Amino acid sequence: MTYRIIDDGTYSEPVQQALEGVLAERLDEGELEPTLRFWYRESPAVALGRFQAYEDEVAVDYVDQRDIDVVRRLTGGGAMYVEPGAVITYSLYLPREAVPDDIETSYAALDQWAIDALRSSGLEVSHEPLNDIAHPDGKIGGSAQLRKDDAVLHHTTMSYALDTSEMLRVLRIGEEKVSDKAIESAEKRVAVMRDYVDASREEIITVLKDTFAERFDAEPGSLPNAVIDEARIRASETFTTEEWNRKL
Amino acid sequence: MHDSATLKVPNGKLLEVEVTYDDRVTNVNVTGDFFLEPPESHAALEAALEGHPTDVSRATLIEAIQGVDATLIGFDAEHLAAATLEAIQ
Repeated sequence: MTYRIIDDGTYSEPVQQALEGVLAERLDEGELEPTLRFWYRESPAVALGRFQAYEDEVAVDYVDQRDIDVVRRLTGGGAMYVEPGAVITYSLYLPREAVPDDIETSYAALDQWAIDALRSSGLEVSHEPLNDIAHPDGKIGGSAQLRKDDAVLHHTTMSYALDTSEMLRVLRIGEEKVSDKAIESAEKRVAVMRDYVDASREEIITVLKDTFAERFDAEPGSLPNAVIDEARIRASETFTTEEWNRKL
Repeated sequence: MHDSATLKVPNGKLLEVEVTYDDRVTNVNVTGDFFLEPPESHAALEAALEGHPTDVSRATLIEAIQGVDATLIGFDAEHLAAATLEAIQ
């Protein structure tokens, strides 16, 4: 099995989330090779878990003022605040038979190459069930999966240099009882790579790609234009709409 | 009546259950940072919690949840039943 590694293309958050559905479906239909894709974003955004209530997670007035895109993902899990250049997000699109059936085992297995890559960069990270990548000081990243009949999407976002104070203004975890203690503990939940390593974000991404290519047979690739066009259509029909983003 | 309950599953995810009821449960919303496969089963899961009398037993709710063709990830039927009952009470 040869993987394709896609490491280009900057898109808005709605297009990024739409791409996830298009790519998972193409793989499910046998029209896409197994792929590792890195994300590049246009602006700060919130990626909301599929089953989360918008108003429970997001400081609504603040994100409105700042024009921050809040986009409901196709995958479950928790809300993530993301900034271009300050997080690393990648997606794996895999044939179902390449993924353990047991959900908990599959998160650990699909995170392992990335954990090994980060460890080789000097980051003391480990998998923490169900779906976290943890540093002793806090959570550095999290993964989420979507399963189709013959395909699995596994995407992961990690903090490289996230502005955690801004995160606490954007997400309501920062609001909890407005006590300093609550903010302190919320901040502790997130650890950012740049506090521990000198490597740039680009260097970390290179280590991730190299580690993946050493472990699996992989070649560079790019997204077909038809996939991008389809994602743009779905972004305008779904991932930019209040009907989807604020449905819960 | 409209009430809600929040349950943090030990070593698992957060469940928030919102219920509307009179003598029966008429509407249920289940939100949180959990996972469901397939995700489209979310509506069926909420529907399985609706229509019961407000004195419904935990066992009945668990059975209704388990009757939905869904894999619950980060919580189980017992947690969802418990949060639903707490919201009703």
